[in-house]
Amino acid sequence: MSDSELREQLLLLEDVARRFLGDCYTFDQRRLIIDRHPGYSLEQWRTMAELGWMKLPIGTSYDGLGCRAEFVAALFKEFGRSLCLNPYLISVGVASRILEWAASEPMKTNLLEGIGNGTEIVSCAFYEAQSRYELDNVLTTAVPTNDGYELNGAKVAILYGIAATQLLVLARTSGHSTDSDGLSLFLVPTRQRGVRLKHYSAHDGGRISLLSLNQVQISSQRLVGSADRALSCVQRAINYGIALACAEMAGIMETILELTLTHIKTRTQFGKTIGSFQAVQHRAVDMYMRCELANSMSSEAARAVEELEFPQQNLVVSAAKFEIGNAAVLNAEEGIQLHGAMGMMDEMPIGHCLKRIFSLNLMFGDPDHHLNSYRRLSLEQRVN
Amino acid sequence: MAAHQIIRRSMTLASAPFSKELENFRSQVRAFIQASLPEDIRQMVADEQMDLPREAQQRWHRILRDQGGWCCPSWPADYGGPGWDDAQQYIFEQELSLNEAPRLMIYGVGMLGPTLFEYGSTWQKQRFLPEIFNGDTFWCQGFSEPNSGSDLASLGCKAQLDGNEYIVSGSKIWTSEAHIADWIFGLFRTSSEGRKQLGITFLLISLSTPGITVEPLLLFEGTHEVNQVFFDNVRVPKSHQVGAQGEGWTIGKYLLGLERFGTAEVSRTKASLERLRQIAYAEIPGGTRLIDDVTFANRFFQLETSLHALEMTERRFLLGDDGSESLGAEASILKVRGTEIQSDVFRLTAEAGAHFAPIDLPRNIDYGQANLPYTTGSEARNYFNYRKTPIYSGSNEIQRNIVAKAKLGL
Repeated sequence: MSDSELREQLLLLEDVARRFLGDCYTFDQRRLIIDRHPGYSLEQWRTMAELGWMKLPIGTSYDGLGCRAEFVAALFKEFGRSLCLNPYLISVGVASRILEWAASEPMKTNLLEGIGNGTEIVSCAFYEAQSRYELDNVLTTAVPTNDGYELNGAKVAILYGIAATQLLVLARTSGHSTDSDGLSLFLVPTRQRGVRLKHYSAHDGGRISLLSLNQVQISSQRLVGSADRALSCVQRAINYGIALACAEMAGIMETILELTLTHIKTRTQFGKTIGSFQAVQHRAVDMYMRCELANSMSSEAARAVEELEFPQQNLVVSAAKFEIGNAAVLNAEEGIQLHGAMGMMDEMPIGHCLKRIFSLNLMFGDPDHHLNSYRRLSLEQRVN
Repeated sequence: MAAHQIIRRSMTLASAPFSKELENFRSQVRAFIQASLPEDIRQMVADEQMDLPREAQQRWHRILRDQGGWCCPSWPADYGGPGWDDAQQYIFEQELSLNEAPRLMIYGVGMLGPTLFEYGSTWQKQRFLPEIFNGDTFWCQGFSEPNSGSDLASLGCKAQLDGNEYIVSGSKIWTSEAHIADWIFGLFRTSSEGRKQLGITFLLISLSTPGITVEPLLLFEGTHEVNQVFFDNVRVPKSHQVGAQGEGWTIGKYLLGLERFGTAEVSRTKASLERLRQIAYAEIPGGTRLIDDVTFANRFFQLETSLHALEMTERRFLLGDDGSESLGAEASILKVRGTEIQSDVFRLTAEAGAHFAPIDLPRNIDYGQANLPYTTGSEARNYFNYRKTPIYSGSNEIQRNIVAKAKLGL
């Protein structure tokens, strides 16, 4: 596809997504949806599946559309603009990537079609309470048995575990607790004996679960990819997820800018609109500039997960997550501040933008984590 | 004006240690607070609740009252205050904060009391001050209106004189604690002629007067702290007017000056930073201490040095040899920097929770294998909630306007 064709296709998708979400995911509808079980609209999920959105990144051999990450990122920008919450990011954005890259043919045939039509939702259990954002810090164990493995341990940050039919669980099959080798991935049905998920509402209205695995028996066929070698694949899928989270944050930043501009152009104090004061104008300009920069970094990250390999891909993705995360938090805080006390109100969307950005900023590594990663990789590059 | 004429000269006391007498005083105050503060109340403060339930505020207020009027540290001895000087009051407030005791009752004790000493009639002082001192009546503040926020002087909630009574109509908004208060003091428009500042009058109104309704307003993180107060032909005796008719703006400015010193919250933020230190230094079984992450540690220590700079400035302003009486716009400096640093401490504390931070967690949750220090689940909620601080009590933008005009002649 040429660049101009790509752009045209992206605009088309953006347009459809914006109209759909604009119709059925207004701020008031969103409030009703997130307050009810399971935190997203099943009906809208089905419609999104019918629109083919969940097939976007999935390969054509598995009934997908085989689109580049830029398309999925375009969709996430629209999710961001309307603060739309659903299991897409974890199931389609991360889990489907791992399955497509690493799973056996039967597992792919079995699952990818289901993920693509929205009937199968796979969440991921990578992180643990003590690991913070270090993917190689894994205490959960998978010990070989006669016909498979026994899993024991606890996992955190299971995004939309409440909706999941299966979980991709990262567990240690060999080595010490922080070795990067010795990690393996297992596809674990959520109804399996010994699997206990506790579901919680997040501040942003989404759903997150904590997982405990107690003598969970898993057959060898449920090992995803080769044993002991899962980390690089997980890292790459996380990079893909980060590119989407960045696009979502860039989308929320646009909404924040719109809300803030509307406010400062209409709110009158001292006999004129507050947007007529230079001090306020300059802050709005700074917010706008950060939006432009976030869009650039978000586009680059989406391209990087398609075209670059380790470590170049990781450098781009970490830079984007660091820059966009900090910019998004700052814009949300500034947006609230320029709204004055109204910005603190539950009935105004601006505060809800901050809550979503807060989650996305920490998801798959906070800015500190990505600055550290960037520094490490950058120094290694110099040495080599 | 040359810069050396703008920047406050006083410095001698700023960095000097407190005298032995004052440190003895500090020890006594600390010992009393630690021995007398009820654990349930301490926990609310440690959880960063700013507005405590009425019962909890009242209970602690009366414990302090019975200790010789410590509930009203700035009040003169005639009205039950302990008769402390600036330095003693400063140290007392520090110790309250550092030992996780509640804020003093801000509206009655911190604002209305000193305002009545300055502007109130003898009758008003006798009528209202003892009830505040005893913790019997709670007050709230009616300043902002839906169309008058940063431009406070444009306020339009009307008070029309009818014989010996005012008839008040309109509404006040963002009124903290109106839902637990008995009385409201505030600014009301008694004349729309001439400069807008000149037609404002300061009134005291019982919230049980017919015609008043209090509607709750929810903050975006889910708490109910502020309200809108509606006045529908509410009759207020003229004897409840403080100062002269039209003097309200002057009185309001005086009162907001009192509020701004408190809003720097230097010692409160120090206590918040200590709580974050507990989290950052805790050993994580199977993981690394947060403070061993250099990027996190740099953010943490930057906040500590910023806070220290503010503390030294606060001490120089309040206790310096120029005297605190000469202070004006300096209070704005403390408010701006204080709330900026406070917000950043809350952000870092929330982010320290990593995967648990975005979850609306119940208390004492079972995390499975790991026993982690960050278990309250309220850190993110607090971060969201404290975004109010750069907005309330005169937004930081308005504070900068004050400094630009009063200090820099701009």
